[in-house]
Amino acid sequence: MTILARHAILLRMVGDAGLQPVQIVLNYWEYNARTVANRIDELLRSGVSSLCTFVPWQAVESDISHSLVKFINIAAEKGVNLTLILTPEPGIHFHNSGIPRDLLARPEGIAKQFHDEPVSCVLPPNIFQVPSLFSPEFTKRFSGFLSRVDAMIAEVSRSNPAVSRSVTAMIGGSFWKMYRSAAASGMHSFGGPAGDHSNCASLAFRQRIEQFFSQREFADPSPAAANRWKSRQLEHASRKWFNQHSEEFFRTRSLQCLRRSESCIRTGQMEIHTPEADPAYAYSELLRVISGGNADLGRLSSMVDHAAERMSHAGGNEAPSFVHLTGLGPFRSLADAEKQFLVLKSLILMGSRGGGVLIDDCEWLGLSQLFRARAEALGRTLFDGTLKMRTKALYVVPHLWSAPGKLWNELAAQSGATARIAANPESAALSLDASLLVADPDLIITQDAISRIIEWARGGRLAALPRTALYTESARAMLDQLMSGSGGLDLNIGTTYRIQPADDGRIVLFDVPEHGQLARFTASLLSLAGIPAKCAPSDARLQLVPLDRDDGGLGLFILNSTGRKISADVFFPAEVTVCDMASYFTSQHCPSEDMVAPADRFTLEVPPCGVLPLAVDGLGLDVEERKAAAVSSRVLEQKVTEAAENELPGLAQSEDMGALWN
Amino acid sequence: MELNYDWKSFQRIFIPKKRSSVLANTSISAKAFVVMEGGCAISAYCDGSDVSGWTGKNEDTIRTLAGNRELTFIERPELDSWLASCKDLPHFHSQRRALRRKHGIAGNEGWHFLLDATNSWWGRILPSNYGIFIMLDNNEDNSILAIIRRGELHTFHKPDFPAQKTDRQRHPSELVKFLSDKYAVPVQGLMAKQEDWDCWSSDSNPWRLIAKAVRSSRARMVPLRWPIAIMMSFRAFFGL
Repeated sequence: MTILARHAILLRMVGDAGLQPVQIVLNYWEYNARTVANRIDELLRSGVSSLCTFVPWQAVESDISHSLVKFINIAAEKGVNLTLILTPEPGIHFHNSGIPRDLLARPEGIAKQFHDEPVSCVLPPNIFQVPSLFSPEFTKRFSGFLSRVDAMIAEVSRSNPAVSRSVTAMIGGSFWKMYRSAAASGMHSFGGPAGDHSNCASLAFRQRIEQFFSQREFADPSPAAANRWKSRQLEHASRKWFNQHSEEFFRTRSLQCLRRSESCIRTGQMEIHTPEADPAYAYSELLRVISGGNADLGRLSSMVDHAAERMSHAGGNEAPSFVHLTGLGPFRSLADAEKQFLVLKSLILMGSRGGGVLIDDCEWLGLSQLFRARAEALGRTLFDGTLKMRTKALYVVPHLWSAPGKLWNELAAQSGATARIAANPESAALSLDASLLVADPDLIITQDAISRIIEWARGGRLAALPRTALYTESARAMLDQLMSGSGGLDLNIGTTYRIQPADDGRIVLFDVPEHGQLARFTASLLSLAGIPAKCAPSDARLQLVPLDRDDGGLGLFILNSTGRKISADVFFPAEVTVCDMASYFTSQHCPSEDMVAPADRFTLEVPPCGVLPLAVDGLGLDVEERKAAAVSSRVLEQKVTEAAENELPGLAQSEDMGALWN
Repeated sequence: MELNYDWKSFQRIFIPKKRSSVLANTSISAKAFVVMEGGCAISAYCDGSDVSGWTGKNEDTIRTLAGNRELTFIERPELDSWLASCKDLPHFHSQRRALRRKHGIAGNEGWHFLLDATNSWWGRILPSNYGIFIMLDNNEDNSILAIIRRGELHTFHKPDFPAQKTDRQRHPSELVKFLSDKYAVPVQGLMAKQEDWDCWSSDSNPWRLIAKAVRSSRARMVPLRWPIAIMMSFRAFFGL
C-alpha cells in the first residue's frame, strides 16, 4: 500500500462520520406517526438506504407527542441509517428555520453584516432575519436545547439498542456563513468581509482580542507591542481571526453538549451549504419572486462551485461539505434536466471530497428512476474511494467565509477544482495530498502556525508565505532563521520572492504581488510545486472536474451548465486514451470498441445541462510518484535515525546526520 | 405535527409545478431585472437567460448587452427596504404579495384563482373567519386546509385527521365537519380530481370549468352552499 493510500484511509477515519454522499431529507415533523412509516417504506422500495432529518429547535420545544422519539424508533426498526442534523440551519421547512420566535423578536438578537444591516434568509416558509449566534440569550437556550436532545437520544438508545447502530447526530455550520452582505456576495458568492457586527458580537470581539493578544507571544519584545495587534489598522485581520475562532468554538461546544450523557450514538460535524437560502442568492430570489419566473441555474451552479472550494474544519477534523437542495423554492422551479445537473454536480464536487448532497424526499422521488440509480451508483463509487478529488493546492485564510486575497482567484483559475481554501494552518496537517500551501496576506502567523507550515513543507512540499506585518516576533525569528540558511535563491519576476530549501520541501517568502503580476507569480508557484495542468477545455463555458481513479487513471467529468449544446475541444498535456466512464466501470478497463485512438486533443459535444464522464488513461503520474518517494524517504530517514540513536550510544541528532547518512 | 404554514402542501395545491422554459425555449427574451448600487450592477436576473455577466457593469453597458430586452433597474437600498418591510408578515405568500405590490404589480396578477377570489369582493360577503378545505383524488394526504381571516390567508396546512378504526373510506362531509369543529370556523370543502385541478389552475377562466365540473358531479362542494355557488357563477360568467 502506498503512503498516499494510507493517508487517504487515515483521512476518512478521522475526517467524517462516514455519511453516504446521497442523503435523502425526510423531515419527521412534516408527517404524522401514521404516515411516516409508509413514507419510509416507499423510500426503501425506491432504493434509499440512508435518510437524514433536520431537528428544528422549535419542534423539539413543542413536541408534546414525542414525534422525534417515535420517528427514531421507526427508522431503527426498518434498518435505515438515520442522520439527525441538530443545529439551526437555513432552508428547512419550518417557520424561522425552527428558531423560537421570541429570540428573533428582540432587535439586539439579530445579526448584522458589515454594512450594519440585518441578513435575511429569503426562502419559504417565511423570510426572516438571521439571529446572532453571539447573543447570550441564544447561546443559553441553545445549550439547553442540545442537552435536551442529547438526553432524549440517550434514553431512546438505551431502550432500543438498534438506535445506537443506525443513528448519527450531526452538528452543522449553522448561520455562520450567512453573515455576509447580499450586495457583496451578489457580485461574487463569497465577496466582501463576512462576520456578525451586531452589538453582542462587537462586545465579544473586544473581549476576545484583549484575551488573545495578551498572550506572551504577542507582547514580545515589550508589553507595549501587544497594542499594535489591537490597533485599528490590523482590525480587519483580527476580526477575521475572531470570526473563525468563534465559529470553531461554537461548533466544538455544541458537540460537547451532545456528548454529555454518553449515549452510544455516533456524533460528528458537517458543513451544509443551502444555495437557495444563501445571501448570495437573496437578490436573485427576490427578483424571481417579483417576476414569477424560474430559478437562475447559472447562479446556483456557480454557488456550488464556490462552496466546494472551501474546506471547513471543526475540532481538528474536516467537516464534510454537503449541498442541501430543498423542495421549497428555486430548485423546485427548475426543469428536470436542470435539477439532475445540479444534483450530479453537487455529488461530484462534494462527494469526491467526503461530502455529498442532501435532497428533499419529494424532489428525489420526482426524478426519474434511471437518474436516481445513476446518481446512487456514482455516490457509491465516490464513497468507496474509487474516484477521489485530491487537493493539490491549499490557500490558507484567516476566515473561511470572507473574501480571500486576489492571489486565490488566480490560483483557482490556474489549478481548477484541485485548489481549496482552508481557514487554519492546522488544516495543512490533514491535507497530505497537497503539494502547495499559500498563506493569505491577512493571516496572523504565530510561532505555532509557522512551525506547522514548515513541518508540513519538509515532506517534499512547497509553502509560500507573504512578507507582511502579521507575524509575531517569535514566528518572524523562526522564519528568518530558516530563510537565512544556505541554498536559498532570490528571484524577481515582477514579484520578488526567495526560495529556501527545507529538507525535501521548499519555503517561498514573497512580496504580495501587484494585480498585473498575479498570473505570472501563481504560475511560477504551481510550477515550483510540480502541479501540472492536466487538461483544459477550448470553451470557457465548460467546466472540467478531474478525479483520481484508484488504479492511477483519471476520471474526468465535463459539465455544461448552460441551456445550449456546446461543441468544444479538450486539451491534454500528453497523448491519452479516453472512453466512456460507464463502460470503464462495467469492464474495469476501456473496452477497445469504445476507446478512441490516443491523442492530446479530443472534440466533444456536451448536451445542455449535461455531464459527460470520461475515463482517461496515459497521463503521467511522475509528480505524485516523486512526492510519494520524498515522503517515504523522509519517513525512512526518521526511522533509521531513531534506530541509530537507540542502538549507538553517544549518537545525537544534533550531529551532521546528513554526512553520516551519505 | 401540524404546521401553521405548511409550504410544501401549499405549493402542491396552489403553485402547480411548471416546467422551466430554460431548456424548452431560449429564444424568448424575458424581462430582466438589475439591482444597482453606486452606478454598478450587483445582481441581475432574467428568467431563462444567464445574465451573470452583467454584474459589475454600468447601466449603459447593460442596456447595450440587453439589446431589445425590457429592463428594470432597482436601487439596492430600495430592494433592501422592501425586504425589511416584509419581515413582520407571517408567511411567504403574504411576503411575496407585499413584494410584488412594492414593485407596482397590482392586484393578484399571476396568483392562483382561488386565492385571488378570497382576496376580492367575496371578503365583504363571506364570514370574517372561514376555512377552505381542498381534497384531490379523494386522498387525505393530498389535501389542504386554508384558514382565511378578513380576506387574508391566515394559516395553511395538511390537516391531521384521526386514524380510522375501519377500512371504510371517510365521507367528505365527515372530514369537513371534523375540521369545522376542530378549528371553530365554517369550512367549505371542494373535492376534485388532480387532473381537473391542474387544468383549472392553468386556465384563464377556471370558474366556468369548476361550475361545469360541479354540475356534472366531477367535482363536489361539501356542503353545497347556494350563496357560494352563486358567487362562483358570478365570477365564472361575469368575471366578477
